[in-house]
This record gives sequence, structure tokens and C-alpha cells, in this order.
Amino acid sequence: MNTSAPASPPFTVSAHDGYCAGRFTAMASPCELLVAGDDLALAARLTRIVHDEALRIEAKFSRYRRDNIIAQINRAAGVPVPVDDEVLRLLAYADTCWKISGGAFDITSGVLRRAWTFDGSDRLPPQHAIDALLPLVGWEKVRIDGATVRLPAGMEIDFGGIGKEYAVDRALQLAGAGTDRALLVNFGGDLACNGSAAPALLAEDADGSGEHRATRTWTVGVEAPGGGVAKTLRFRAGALATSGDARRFLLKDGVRYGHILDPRTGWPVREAPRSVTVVAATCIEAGTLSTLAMLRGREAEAFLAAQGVQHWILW
Amino acid sequence: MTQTNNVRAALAMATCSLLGTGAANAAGDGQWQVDTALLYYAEQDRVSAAEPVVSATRDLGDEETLNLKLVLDSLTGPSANGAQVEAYPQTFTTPSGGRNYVVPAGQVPLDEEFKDTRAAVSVNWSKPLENRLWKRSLGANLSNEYDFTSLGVSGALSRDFNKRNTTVTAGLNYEMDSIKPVGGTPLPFAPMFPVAGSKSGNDTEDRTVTDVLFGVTQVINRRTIMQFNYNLSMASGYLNDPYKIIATPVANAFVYENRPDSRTRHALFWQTKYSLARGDVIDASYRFMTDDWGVVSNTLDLRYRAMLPDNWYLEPHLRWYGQGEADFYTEKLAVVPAVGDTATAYSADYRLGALTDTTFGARVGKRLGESGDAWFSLESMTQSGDTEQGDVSAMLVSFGYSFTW
Repeated sequence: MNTSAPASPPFTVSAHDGYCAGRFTAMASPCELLVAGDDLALAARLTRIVHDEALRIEAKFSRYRRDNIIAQINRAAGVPVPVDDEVLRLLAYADTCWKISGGAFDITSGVLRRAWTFDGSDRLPPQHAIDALLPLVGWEKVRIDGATVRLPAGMEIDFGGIGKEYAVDRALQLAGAGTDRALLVNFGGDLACNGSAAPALLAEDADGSGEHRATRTWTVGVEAPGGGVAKTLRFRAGALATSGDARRFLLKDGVRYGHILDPRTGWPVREAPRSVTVVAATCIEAGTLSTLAMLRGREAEAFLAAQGVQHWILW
Repeated sequence: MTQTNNVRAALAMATCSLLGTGAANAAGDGQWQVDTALLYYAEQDRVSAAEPVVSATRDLGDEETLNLKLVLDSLTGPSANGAQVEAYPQTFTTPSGGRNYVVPAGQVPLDEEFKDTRAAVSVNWSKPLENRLWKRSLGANLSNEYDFTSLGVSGALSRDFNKRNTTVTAGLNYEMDSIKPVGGTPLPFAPMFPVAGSKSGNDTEDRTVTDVLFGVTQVINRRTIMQFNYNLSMASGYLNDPYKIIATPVANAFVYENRPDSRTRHALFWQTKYSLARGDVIDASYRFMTDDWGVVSNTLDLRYRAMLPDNWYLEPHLRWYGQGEADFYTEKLAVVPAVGDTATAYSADYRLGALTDTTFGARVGKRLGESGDAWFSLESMTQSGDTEQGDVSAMLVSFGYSFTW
């Protein structure tokens, strides 16, 4: 038994000018919770809540675990697996995304990663490898009856595309239940915040004296690809998420293959942007819209403009 | 792929189901912020008013907001008619000319027939421009009483500087009012009796009011915010009060007042809000007003919001108002101008005379959730003027409730 240094704390809390920050690592990302004001004890309490929720979701939905409900569903080979309400709601959400994207957003498409390795090289997989996997892809083959899920053998579901954003929204919800203060939850760049009216400074008169109703806003800097702040956003309440990763791609004969795969062909989406960032009401909406935009390839800009959301696209 | 314009709506609904109702308040989620209040105002032996107000603001997302406001004003009770206290009884006639009323010796003459209900509705829409540092807003308002209708439009443009620590605003307001005095418009200085021959024959009178506003709001530091405004107001048209009279050297002989047909007002306003460690706020404001009628006024307003445990708060309030009399204010006419003399102005309306007003009271309330509030306020106002007409004391009771819907 190791009795030397105590285990490092699961999270740290620090005070800054106007807010307190709680930080920890989860879902392979640096995570933080910002709480307006100077109440360090409150920040610690809320960070504990956010940290626990992030770890809970990660444990429950990670495809890397062998013992969670996802592993059970993916191993069941056609046998119905009973699932709880949260899993059902996420499956319903995935179903909506599948419908509105015309089949491009598909949480069963993860098996295609067995054929593709996005390491920046020029090694594209042979077509027969992709053809072998395509029968194992297709949300329409998933059966949800009542409270059970049934996947044909060989198929897998993977919430990786929406898990982190869902965790951000859940964490904000839980933390927000414990305070009136403005909060911001940021898991590796996918973030959501709420803007409770600052308790003191800019409180408005409720007698209709016509005062400007001002609430505290969060200022978020969005990084430019080469470093530095590309854009500064002010949020009263809302969320931001980014899809895409400029580092995961293949390059052959001058054609760049991004890592977002179209499940209907098994190939990367053609002419997809390198990264899409979207501002929306919740993190999961922002993340879904950015993924849907990526799936539209060069129509990404037109799609997001039609949705009327603030967005940035990196080509 | 499906129609793109359905995507966002479908996602929003799916998210609601996923996260459950009560997901964090977010921009553009279609919620209305509703503020309601009811004010009850009662002058001792004089006018009382009940005023319910409902104001609803909808966040349309992306810093675009829409506000709708409805105010109902119900006034009843007598008001000073402009004549002075005398040592003998005085007889007056009601505006409709239908009835006479007698005021006993030693009492302030009050107009009996004062009953008025006013409804006002206003709409205001604001949205940032392409360059989000600029914000524009447009508004319209309509107000109606049985003898008065007002229609106004307004527009404002504001710009943020210094990382949004400074906001400069310019605004314009244009209002058209139509007055329909009961019994018809009286001629200036026409005698109250006999009624025949005292009216001009006009049923309706008009006036317009143009307001120009310049303002600066500045965040001084994390605890302090200040606002400065300059307001120019130009009114033109029928500015008389058709029901007010002036006493003459002859007992029981009264004539109708007359005011200039234009009024230009300048006002300077300064307000500071300062927050203390516990969440308490001090709110102090001062307003200086001067116009070409010779009226000069000062207003000082102080509030201290003390936060109590469990989101309760107590807010004592003190307001002091001092006004100097208008150039043409008079208690009693020494020489009566000719009937219909529009070039001469005289008024005995105590509200144009020297006045001092002191109001003190307190509000107690509780903040509910992120943007809800419930409060109750009790205030006492004491006013004293040059004459007994202006000596009024009143109680103000109000309560309000704000919520999201």
C-alpha cells in the first residue's frame, strides 16, 4: 500500500477578479467552472457537483469502458438490453439528429473508425475494408422498444459526438440549481453559461421606472488557429461548441480528408471545413449544429447562415 | 437533407426533451420577462389613484428585445381648481357647466367633478446593428382618457465604447396630443359665470411635444456605474389646463387661465449606483430642470437596498423635490386681461407655483429565482406650496411581482 504523498485533489479552486474558477480534467479535456463573485466555498461546492457529473457521464457513456451500459448494448448482439431514462432520452435525441440530417448524423457510424486512421499520412483505406463495415452502420437498424435497445450483432453505438456537450449542459443545470450567481461551464472549449442578474451592481428597479435592465455578461475569447484571440463574445446566457479538429486528417494527392465520416458512403465528408464553431442556446444544440454543418461539406456556411446562428468556419 | 429552416426548431425541441424543462435560461427561447405592479396613491381629502402596470419583455435572441407595456390610471377625487382660500363661501361651476358647487369659507376650493381613467400602451423594440457595438431601438405609445389622447413615436441609437464600459445614447421622441375639454375649450380669461360666452367654440385642441435626449452611461469600476443625461423638451400648441381658474379682485368672480403656447425645457440628470460587499446597493440621483416659463426645479432621490438573508431585501427611500414658480404664476389677478387675450399668460395652478415635496418610505421584497421579484412599498409624501392649495399630503402604497412566462 502506498502511504507516501496523498492523492492529488480531484479539482482545484482559485479566486480571480470578479469570479472564482474550479478546474479539473475529464473526458480527456481541461474542464473548468467559473462562478461570478468571490465566494470560494460556493465555488468549491459547485465544482464538486460539476466534476462529479462530468465523471459520471464519462463513465456511463464512454466507449472505452468495458462495463458500462454502452458496452453492454454494443456486446448484446441482437438481444434487447434494458436501459434507463437518461439513455432513452439521448437515443431519442440521436434519432432526431439522424432524421433532420437525412441520415448523415448517425451514432452507429463509429465502427468505420476501424478502417480509417487519421494520422496525417496518405494511407487511405482500401475500398473493400470500407465495404465490409458499411453493413454494420445504419441507425435505422437499431430497435428501441419501450425501455430496451437492440442492436444487430457487430453494430455499435457511440455518443462521443454529443457526450461532452451534453455533459456541459447537465453540469450547468446542476450547478445552477445551487446558486443564483452567473456560471460558466467549459469542457475543453465546449461551453455554456447562464447570466443570473448580478446581485448588486446592476440590479434593476422592478417598478417599471424604465431603467436599462442590465445583467452581468461573460466575455469569451475564441482562439484563432495560429493562436491569439480571434473573436470576443459576450454572453448573457448561451453556449458555444466546436466541431472538427485540424490535426486529424489524411492528405493524399493534394486532397485533404477530414475525420468526419459520412455514414452513407463510409468516406470522409467531401470538402468539409476544418473546424466549425457555433453559438446556440445550449451546448448540445451548438455541438449538433456544428456537426451538422461539417456534414454538409461546402454547404456548411449556407446551412448555418440559414439557421440564423452566430458561427465561425475554418476552411 | 431536410429543409434547413426546420433544423434549429427541431433541435430546440429535442434539446428540451433531453435536458428537461428548466434548462438554463437562454437567449431566444421565447420567454417573456413580466413585471407587474399596482400603485395606490391617496392624497388626504383629495385625489386618489390606482395604477396597475404590466410590462413584458421578450428576449428574441442575439440581444434583440421586444417590450410591451400597459398602464391603467384610475384617478378619482377632487383637485384644487386654482382659486384661493377665502373667508367667505365661494361658488363654482363644474366643467360641463351642468352644476354649481359651493366651497365653505376657509377651505381650499377643490373641483368636485374629477374622475378620470387613462389607459396607455407602449411598444419598444431594440436590436444591435451589424456592428454589434451599435444598438437601435424604436418605440410607439398610445394613451387615452376621455378628454385626452396621445400618440407618440420614439427612436434611439446607442453605441458602446471602452469594452462596453461606456454607452452613449441619442434619442428622439415625438408626441402628438389631442385634448377635448369637457364642456368645450374655455376662452382665456373668460369668466366662469355665465357659462354662455365663456367657451371658444373649439371642441378639440392640439399640441405636440418633441424630446431630444443625450446620455452617457459609464461603468466606473466593478462596484460603480454612473449615468448622465441631457434632455431637451419642446412643447407647442394648447398647453393650458382647461379646468383651472384664477381668482379676481371681485369676490366669486373667476376667470379661466391662459398659458403660453410653447414651452422649452432643459433637464440634466445624474445617477450613480454603488454596490457594497454584501450585495447592498446605494442609488442616488439628482435632476435639474429649467424652462422658458421660468420654472426651475431640483430633485434629489436616494435609495439604499439592504440585502437580507434568503434573498429578502429592504430598501428605504428618500426623495426631495423643490420647484420655483413660473413667471406667469399668480395667486390672484390684480388686473383681469381681456377675454380671449392669448398673448398674456396667467395661471394659479399650484403645480406651477413654488413647491417643496418630501417623500420617504421603504420597500420590502424578495428576489425569486433568476429574474423574479415580489415587493411591497409604503411611502408618505408631504407637499407644501406658496398657498394652501399646494399643501397636500399623500400615501403611496404599491406592490409588484416580476416573473418569467
